[in-house]
Amino acid sequence: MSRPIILITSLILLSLASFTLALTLGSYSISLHDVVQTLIGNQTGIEQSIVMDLRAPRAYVAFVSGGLLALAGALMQVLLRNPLADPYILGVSGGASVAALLAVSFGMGAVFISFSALAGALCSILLVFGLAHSHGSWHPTRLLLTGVVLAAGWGAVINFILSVTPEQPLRGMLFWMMGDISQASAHISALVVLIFSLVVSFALARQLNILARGDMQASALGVNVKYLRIGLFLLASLLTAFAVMQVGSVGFIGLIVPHMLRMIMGSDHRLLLPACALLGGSLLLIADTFARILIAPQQLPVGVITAFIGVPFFLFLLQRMAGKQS
Amino acid sequence: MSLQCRQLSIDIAGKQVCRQLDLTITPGQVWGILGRNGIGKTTLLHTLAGLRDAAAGDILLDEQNIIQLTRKQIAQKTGVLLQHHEDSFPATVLETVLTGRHPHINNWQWENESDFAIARQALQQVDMHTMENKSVQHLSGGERQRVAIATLFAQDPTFYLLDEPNSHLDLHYQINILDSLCQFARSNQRALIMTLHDINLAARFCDYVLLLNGDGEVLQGAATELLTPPHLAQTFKHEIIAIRGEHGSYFQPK
Repeated sequence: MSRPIILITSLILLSLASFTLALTLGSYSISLHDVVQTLIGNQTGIEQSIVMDLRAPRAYVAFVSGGLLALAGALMQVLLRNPLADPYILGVSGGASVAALLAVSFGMGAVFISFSALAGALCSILLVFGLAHSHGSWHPTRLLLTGVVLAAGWGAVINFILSVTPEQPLRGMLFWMMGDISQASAHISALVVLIFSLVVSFALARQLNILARGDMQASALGVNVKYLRIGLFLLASLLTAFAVMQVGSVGFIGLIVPHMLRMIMGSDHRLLLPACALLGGSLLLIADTFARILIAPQQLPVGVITAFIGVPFFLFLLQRMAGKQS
Repeated sequence: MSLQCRQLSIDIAGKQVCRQLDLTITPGQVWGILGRNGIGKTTLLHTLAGLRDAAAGDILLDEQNIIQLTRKQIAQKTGVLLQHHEDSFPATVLETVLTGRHPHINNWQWENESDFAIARQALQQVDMHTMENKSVQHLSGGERQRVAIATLFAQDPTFYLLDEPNSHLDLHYQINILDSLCQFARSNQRALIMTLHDINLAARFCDYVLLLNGDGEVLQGAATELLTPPHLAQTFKHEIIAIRGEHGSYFQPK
């Protein structure tokens, strides 16, 4: 068996394992046997309601959002030709946060918060697009600067909202911003967006391999760089918007997963992109399981866990790679 | 088969590179582009490849105006060796050379055995076949340049547009690579158009030259006729003397 097949197979197994953990572990432990019985409809009572109403929807949200974020990160890195780009770098999460916080401060429900986050993200995307595109040039540096400055602007608005908000809704706002799945509601739209983007980006993957070599080289090798970059920007932003809508701004998944996979398997996006979706999903699901059980019954925002796991693991990998090269 | 300019004018930042240039390049020919720094050699090369818009005039690739062709159609017939190579993400030498096959593979297809064979053959042509699994980020400047030339061989266009093909190459590879490029072009009906800084390399390898003199003035013709001290002095704004040698004239700045 070739290496890529082994890698993808092990990522699928990892995904299954992470679902198993998420469905069995918790304040009320449920055996794998009971989980399986529940899923095929042979179980009733408390196990059934815990698995089907609480854990399964939450696991679904975590996995899909992780997949969205990692895929968005990988695409954003090619778009900006910068291996350190993450999905939030162009300010998508800033716009989403502002809109979501406003919704919280007006005392709106969870569903409404999600949709305002989506609307805020889309606004931010259009704003970056309009500003960076105004002269027809799509230089990565210009795009990056526009996004980064806009993100800083959103940051100021967020701080303003936080400082004028009374104590009581403040905790919810902070949790939302750190990335939190406990309030999320399972929605089919995010999965549709993930699958759609995977198919589209898979079709574009070889062109992405070429675009990673620079705009000029890609053009010389027959890629229509302008349209590809616009498509890539919209796709990556859409993915980010839906992830933020579901779980707020969870850090590290979108930066670390693609980067880690590039170090392990190289930069062929035909393999890298599906691998990102699988590993991103698994990692966020595992992190969310920890967020639930670590200091149970209290819950942590999942963003804290992704950073706790992501940072040391990434540094370890970086050290090992540096050792290999010298 | 030909690459033609009709009444081509090119501007960069208000300066004229060429004015109403008529030029026909056919397979089997080797052209050199010479001129001072910043005079527009690279710009002319990029414009010929359709990577940049001309101010006026047309470029015809096999009688078809390139603005009516897709990037992919252009890339099947013209290949460009750029001056700078961007390696932002890790990739092996072989993966890099395989990118040259991109214009020949359909969107949903993967590289097949024959693409791999072509890429390996291309690496052999530049003497890099022992390093196919090495990361391009760890190559020396000269090795990276040879990988870029191999990518162009793998692309296998009719018209090779080379921006300073000898840059970063040591003396041995400067002669070796230019020699194999020229031999390949002449025996397989390919055309080379290259910017060069070294007049002696131009005299040794080129059949024809374009001298960019600035203000839109371009001289074109056989290398033996144009590579003479008076013409070169005008192009480089520096007095140049010719010394008769074993293989023709050698040029030296005064």
